[in-house]
Amino acid sequence: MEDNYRGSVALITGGSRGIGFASAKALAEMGFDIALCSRNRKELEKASEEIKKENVNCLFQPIDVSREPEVITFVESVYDAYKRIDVLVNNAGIQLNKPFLELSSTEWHSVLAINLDSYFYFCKYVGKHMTEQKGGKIINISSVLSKFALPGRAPYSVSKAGIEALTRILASEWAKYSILVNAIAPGHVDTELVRSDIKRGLLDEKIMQERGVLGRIGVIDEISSVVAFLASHKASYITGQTFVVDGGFSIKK
Amino acid sequence: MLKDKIVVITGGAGSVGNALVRAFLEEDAIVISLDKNKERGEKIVKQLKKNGKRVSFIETDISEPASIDKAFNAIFKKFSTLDVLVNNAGVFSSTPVLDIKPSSWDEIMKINLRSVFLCSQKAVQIMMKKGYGKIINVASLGGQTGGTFASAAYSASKAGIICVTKTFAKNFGKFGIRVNCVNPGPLESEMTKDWPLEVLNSLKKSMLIWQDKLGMPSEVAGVIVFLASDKANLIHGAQIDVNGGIYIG
Repeated sequence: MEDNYRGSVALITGGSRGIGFASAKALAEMGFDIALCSRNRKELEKASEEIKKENVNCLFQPIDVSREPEVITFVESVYDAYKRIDVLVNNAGIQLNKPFLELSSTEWHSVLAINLDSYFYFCKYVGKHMTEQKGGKIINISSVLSKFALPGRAPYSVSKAGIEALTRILASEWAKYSILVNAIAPGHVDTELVRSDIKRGLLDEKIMQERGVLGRIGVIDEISSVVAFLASHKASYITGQTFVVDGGFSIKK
Repeated sequence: MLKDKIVVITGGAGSVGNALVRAFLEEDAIVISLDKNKERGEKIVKQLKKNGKRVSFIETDISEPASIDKAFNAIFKKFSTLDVLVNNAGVFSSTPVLDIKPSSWDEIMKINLRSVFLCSQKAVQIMMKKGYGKIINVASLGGQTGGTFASAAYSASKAGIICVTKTFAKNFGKFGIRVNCVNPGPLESEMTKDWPLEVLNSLKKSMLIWQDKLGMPSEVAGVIVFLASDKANLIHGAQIDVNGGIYIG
């Protein structure tokens, strides 16, 4: 899978840290030129420096992915710079853990705006170029919580279920343009965000470990390796699918 | 990605088996191909050996427990270990529901389903000692959807493989063993080459991508090689659908 992708371009949302950054790094190792966005300019600068060590181009922009005009400006600037976008990794997202009756409508909408609306915007504005260039791959990061219930995760789970539905629909609409659309549903993964929630007592590490058959939380690279596979030429007969990457979380029931 | 790994592939003489043998050798693995068809299995291996590949063939009747025992004993004796098992052997049947006899039902179950269980049973015993191993089972789209052209026995055997996959995953994950299955859609292969034209055409039409051809065995082999690698370590007990979008669960 090494180095056959020089001149191809991958755009990763939420790309400055966690699964997004690891995915960007894995794709850069394959030779992809990279475009990143997230909210934090400093983190993006740091991430971009790391990625350039793979001798690929990397451009970035701090944006709010839930604001359509910002997404349009960013996608068009990426297209102007690279003249193509081959792979889109929709990864940006937030978590919210709160009993349903305590949820405000603002909280509900803000989770859906960042986790689901942003996927709609990026699919639409990147998809426009992919349909014109007649080819591309979209990889949407969802979650096993799209199918399994954990109390307190209503807006998060709903947003992730929406992502998987969107994945299936776009796979069926865009197959004729040779655009393959798939999702990855991770179980618990040891990201900085999760780590800080564990430290603050918002998450219980032991319970999280025991939810999977493997008895451990996943590591970031175990998700980015699947992103890299789906972005590769080897994943040519797969579309509309959700890859469950959860260490056996979903078979433990 | 799989350098020096000991890889056993059942049904190594068929279309997908052949693609699997080649794909694993490409990754510098050491491959043992099992098949009932000695002539074809040996021919493939002989040719690859000439190119310096590390591959061997063991004649195995996967429907016979004694034959499976013999093959695995020979493998353990020679290599004293096993890293990857791909349960790929299987036969297709399109016998209409009302024409299936008990004996042909049993025969399909023996070849397609019992073999997966018995080979996995053999494999996990050595993998557990090592604390490492990957099992990838080739189920089928038919095992998810049931069949109209594909027989009830074939589809049920493939559905059974999906369940065996989850059961082994639940029981042996804690020993460092990963167990997954792939569900291929229709492929350009020996299995489909005699299918009636109207069946093939309707399948192609319901495929999201291409619509003018079926998938290639190498496209399934590529996914299986990935699942056999440590890059897929967090994928466990999963079904990977490789079907060109013909079925989106």
